Amino acid sequence: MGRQTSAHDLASEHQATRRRPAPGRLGGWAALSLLVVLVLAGCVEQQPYSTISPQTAKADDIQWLYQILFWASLVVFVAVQAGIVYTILRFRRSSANRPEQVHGNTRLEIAWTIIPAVILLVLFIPTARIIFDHAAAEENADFVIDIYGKQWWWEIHYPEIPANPDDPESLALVTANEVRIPQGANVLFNLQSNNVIHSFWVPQLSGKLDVMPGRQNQLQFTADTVGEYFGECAEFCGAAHAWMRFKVLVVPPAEFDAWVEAWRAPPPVDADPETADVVEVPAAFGVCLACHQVNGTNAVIAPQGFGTNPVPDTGNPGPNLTLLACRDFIGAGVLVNNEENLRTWLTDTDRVKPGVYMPNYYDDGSLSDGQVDELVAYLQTLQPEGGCPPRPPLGGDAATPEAVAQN
Amino acid sequence: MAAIVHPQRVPAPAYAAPKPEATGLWSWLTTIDHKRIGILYGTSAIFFFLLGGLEALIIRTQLIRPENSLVSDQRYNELFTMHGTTMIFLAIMPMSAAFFNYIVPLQIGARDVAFPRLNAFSYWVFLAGGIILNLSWFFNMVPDTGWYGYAPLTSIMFSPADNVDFWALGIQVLGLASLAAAFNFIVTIINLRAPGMTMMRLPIFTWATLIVNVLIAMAFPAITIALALLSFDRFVGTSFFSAYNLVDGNLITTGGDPLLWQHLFWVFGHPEVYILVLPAFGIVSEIIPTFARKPLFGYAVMVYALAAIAFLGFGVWVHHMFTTGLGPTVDSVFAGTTMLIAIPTGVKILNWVATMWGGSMVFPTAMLFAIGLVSQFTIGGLSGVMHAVVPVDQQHNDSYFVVAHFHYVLFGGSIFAIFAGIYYWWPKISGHLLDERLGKMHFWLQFIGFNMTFFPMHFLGLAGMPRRYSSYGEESGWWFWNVVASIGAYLIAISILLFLYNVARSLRDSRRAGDNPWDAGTLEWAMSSPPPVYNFRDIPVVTHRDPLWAEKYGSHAVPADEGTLDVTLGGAKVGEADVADEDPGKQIEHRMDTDDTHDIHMPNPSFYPLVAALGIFLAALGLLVNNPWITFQLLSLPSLSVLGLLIMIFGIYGWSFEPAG
Repeated sequence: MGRQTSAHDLASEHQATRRRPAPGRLGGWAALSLLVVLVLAGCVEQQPYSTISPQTAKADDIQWLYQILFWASLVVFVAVQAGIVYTILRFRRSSANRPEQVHGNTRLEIAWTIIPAVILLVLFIPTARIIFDHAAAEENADFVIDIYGKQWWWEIHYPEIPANPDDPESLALVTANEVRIPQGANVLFNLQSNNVIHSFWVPQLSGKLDVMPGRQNQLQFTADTVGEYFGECAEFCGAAHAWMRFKVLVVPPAEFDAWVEAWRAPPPVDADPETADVVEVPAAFGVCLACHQVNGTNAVIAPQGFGTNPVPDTGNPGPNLTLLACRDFIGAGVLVNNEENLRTWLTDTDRVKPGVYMPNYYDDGSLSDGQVDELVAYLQTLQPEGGCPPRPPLGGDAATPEAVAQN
Repeated sequence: MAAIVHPQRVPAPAYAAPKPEATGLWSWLTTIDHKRIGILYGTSAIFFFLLGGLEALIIRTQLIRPENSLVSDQRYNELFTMHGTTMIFLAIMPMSAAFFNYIVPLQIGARDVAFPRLNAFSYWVFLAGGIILNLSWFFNMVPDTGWYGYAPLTSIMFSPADNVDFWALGIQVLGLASLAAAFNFIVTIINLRAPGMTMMRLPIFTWATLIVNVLIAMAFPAITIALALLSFDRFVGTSFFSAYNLVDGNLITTGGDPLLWQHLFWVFGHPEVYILVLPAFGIVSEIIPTFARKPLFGYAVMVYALAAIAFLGFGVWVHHMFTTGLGPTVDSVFAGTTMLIAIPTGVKILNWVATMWGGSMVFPTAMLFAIGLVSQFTIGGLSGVMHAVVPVDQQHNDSYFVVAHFHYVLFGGSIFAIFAGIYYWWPKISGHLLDERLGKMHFWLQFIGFNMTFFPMHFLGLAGMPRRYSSYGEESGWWFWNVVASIGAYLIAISILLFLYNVARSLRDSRRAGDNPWDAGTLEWAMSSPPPVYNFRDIPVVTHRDPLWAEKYGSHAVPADEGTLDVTLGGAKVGEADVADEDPGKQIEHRMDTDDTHDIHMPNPSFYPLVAALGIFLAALGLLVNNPWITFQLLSLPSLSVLGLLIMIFGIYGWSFEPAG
C-alpha cells in the first residue's frame, strides 16, 4: 500500500522546502499590538478558531496580506480621523463673518484621486499573485480527501485508502467530523454536497471554501505542524448551522497509519472469529442500521456519500460510527463525547440539536431504557482493543501551555 | 462655544397657508401630497426600524453568553433574517424615500412629484410588502433563510413550510413599490426642475436621489427575476436554483445551479448597498456646507463620484462570492473592480473634510451625526478594501468581521446620516426644532453604543466567529467581545428612546422653528415651515447653486456662473436670462409676498392608489394560503389572489379615468 509510505516521504520532503517567511518586524508589531489589545481585554484565553494564528504556509500568505492591509488601513484611518478632529477643533465658528467661499481645488482633488489609486494598485499586485499561487498549489496536491457537507455534520472519505487492505477495489475509508491528515501531506479536499451550501473552514489552516451542490470545489493546504485544529461551517445551512463543527487532526505519518489500521480492525465486541467473518452489532442497534455504518460489523448497509435522498426520510446517510469512542464530541460539536452525553443524545436527540434529522427513537418508543443502556455501552466499545490511537495536542491558538509542555 | 449660533425662533409667518389643509384619517388615506407621503414613509420606516432594532436586541441578548438558550436555534435564524430584511427594505430604504418625497420637490422648486398618484401607490404597496413580511410572525412561519436567502436552502426540499414564501412575496411586493417610486423620481428630477435649475445647479441631495433611483430602476429587475424563478421553484416544481431534485423518490440531477441565485441576487444586492448609502452621502453633503457656512468642496467631483460609485457598483457583485470557488481569474478581476470603488468613495470623504476645512463651523446635532458618518464610513470603507483582497476575504467572509464592516457602512453610514437628516429637516417638516441638548445626548450615546457594538465584531471575526451562529461554545474564546457588543447594543437602544422622547416633546412645543433656522442655501428653506400644500406660490427662477445664499450674501458667495443662463421649464429651454442682471434669488422673496393662490392648480386626492395597492396585497397573500378549500380546483388558482387581482384592476381602472383635479 503506497499511500501511507508516500505520506512519510512527503512529510520529510515538505519540511525541507517549507516556505514560511519569518514574520518581519511589521508582522511582529501587528501581532504584538493585537496581543496587547487582547490581553488588555482579558482575552488571554485560547482562540482555537483564530484567523490570525496561521499554522500553514497558505494561512501565512493570507496573514502576510492581512498585515499589509492592516497597517495601510491604520495609516489611512489615523490620517483621516486626525484630519477630521483637527478640522473640527481649528475651524469652529469664531465670528459672524462668512468664511472664504472656496468651491474646490482641482489639483488637490486630482491628487487625492490618484494617490488612493496608486495605493490600491500596490495592494492589487500581491493580491493577484497570491490568488494565482494558491490556485497553482492545487495542481500539486497528492493526498485526496472527499468531504461531504451534510445538514449538519461532515462525512469524510479517503478515496485512496480502501476499507479492506486486501481488496483495493473495496470502498473507501469513511469517517465523520474529525479529519485526520498526515503531517506534511499536500492535501486536496474535494468539497461536495447534495443538499444545501456549506462552507469548509479551518481558520488556522486555510481560508474557507464553500461546499456547493452540483459542483466540486477543491481546497488545498499542507499542514506541517502536528496538532488538533478547530473547523466550522461558515455558510448558513439551516436550523443547526451553529452545530456543524469539525476538527482537523494533523498527526505524524506513523500515527496516521496506525489510525488507518485501527479503523480497519473490527471492534472487539462479541468477536468470535471462529464463527463469523463479521461482528454482530447488538440487537438494539437495529434501529440505527438504516443510517449508520460500523466498519467490521454487519452494520454496513447504510448508504454513504450522497445516499439516495438529501432529506431525512430514508436513505439519508448518518455518520459512520467506526471508532466513535475515539472522537471527542458528538452531534458535530454539540456535546462532549462521554457516557452521560451519549445517553442524552439518544434520549433527547432533537432537544439537544433541534432540527437534527436523526429520529428520537426513545421518545417514539422504539428504544426502551434498557436498549438505550445497551447502545450507550456498545458505542463506548467502538475503539480498538488497545485503546484509541493517540490524539495530537491542541494546535495553534487552541494550545494551552500544558498541552504544549506535554508535546 | 459661545460662538454657536442658535437657530432663530420666529413667529409663524404672516402669509400662512390660506386654505386649511384637510385633516383626518380619510385625508391621509387619499393623500397624494408628496409631503404627506413623505411623512407616511418616515413614520412607517421608524416603526419598522424599531421592530428591526428589537430583533437586534434579542439577537445580542442571545449571544451575551456561551450556549445561551434565550431563543431556540430556529427562532434565532428567524430573528437575523427578519432583522436584515427589515432594516434594509423596511427601514433604511423607506427612510430615504421619506426624504426623497418630502425634500426633493422642494429643493427643485416643484409643486409635487411628476406622478402624485403613482407616488401614493408606491407608498401603499411598500406598506403592503412590509405587512406581508411581518404577518409571518402571526402564522409562526417567519422567514429563516437569511436576508440573501441562498438557494437551495430556500427550495421546497429544505424549507417545506411557507416561511420562504412570506419572504419572497414580501420582497417582490416591496420591489414593485421601489420601482414605481424610482421612475417617479427620475421623471420628477429630470422634468420638474424650476426654471434655471440646470443639472449642475441641482442640490447635491437631489443628485443623490436621481442616481439612487436610477440604481433602483436598474438593480431591482434582477431581484424581481430571481424571486420569480424562486417562486416557480417552490410553487411549480422547477429547479432553476437546485442542482438536485427529488422526483418520485429518486434524487436526480436537474441542471439547475445554486450559483445562479447568487449571481442574480448580488447583481441586485451590491447596487442595493449603494441604494442604501448614497442618499446618506447626499444628506451629509447638504448638512456639512450649511454648518461650515461654505459651499460643498468640489461639487462637480462630488456628483461624478456619486455617479462613478453607482456605475462601478454594478461591476463588483462577485466579491460577495469569493468563497464559492469561481477560479483565480474571476476572483482577481473582481478584486480589481472592487478596489476601484474605493477611489470615488475616498474622494467623497476627503471632499467633506475639505468642505469643513477653512469653514466657520457650528455643531448642532445634525452636524454631529453628519461628521459621525464621515468618520465611521471611513472605517467601513477600509474594511471593504480588505474584503476586496480575495485571500483575506476567504478568511473574513461570513465571519463577524463582515458583520462589523457592513454595520459600519449601513449603521455608521446610512442610519447616522438618516438621523442627521431628521435633525436637519425636522424644523422644515414639523415647524418645530428638536431639542439640542437631548439631541446631543442622543448622538453621543448612539456614537459610543454603535462603536462599542460593532468595533469588537472585528475582533470576533478575526477570532473566527462565523455570522448567523445562534450559539457558541466556551472553548471558542468569543465570550468577552460578545458581552461588550451586547452592552453597546443596549446603549443604542437607550439613545433611540431619547430620540423618540425628543420627537414627542418637539411636537408639543409651541415655539416655531422659522423658515430657515440653519441659514441653509437650498430652496426648501425659502418657504414656511411646514410648507403650504402647494409649496411655492410661484415657481422660483434659479440662477445659482445654493440660491438662498446667493440671495442673501450676494453672488460672490456661490460658484461663478457662465454669463447667460438657460431658463428651462419642464426640461425644455424656454429662454435665456442674463445672470449679471439678476439680483439672485430676488424672485423667490418677491413672489412669496402675494396672498393670491387662486391660480395654483393642485391635483385632487384619490383613493384609487390605495385600492390598487390593496389588490396587490391580497393577490400576494392569496399565494401564501395553502388551503385548497379556497383555491379554484380547475387551475389551482387561489381565489384570494384572483380577488386581489380584480381589485387591483378596478383600482387602476378608476385611477385612469379619474379627473386629475
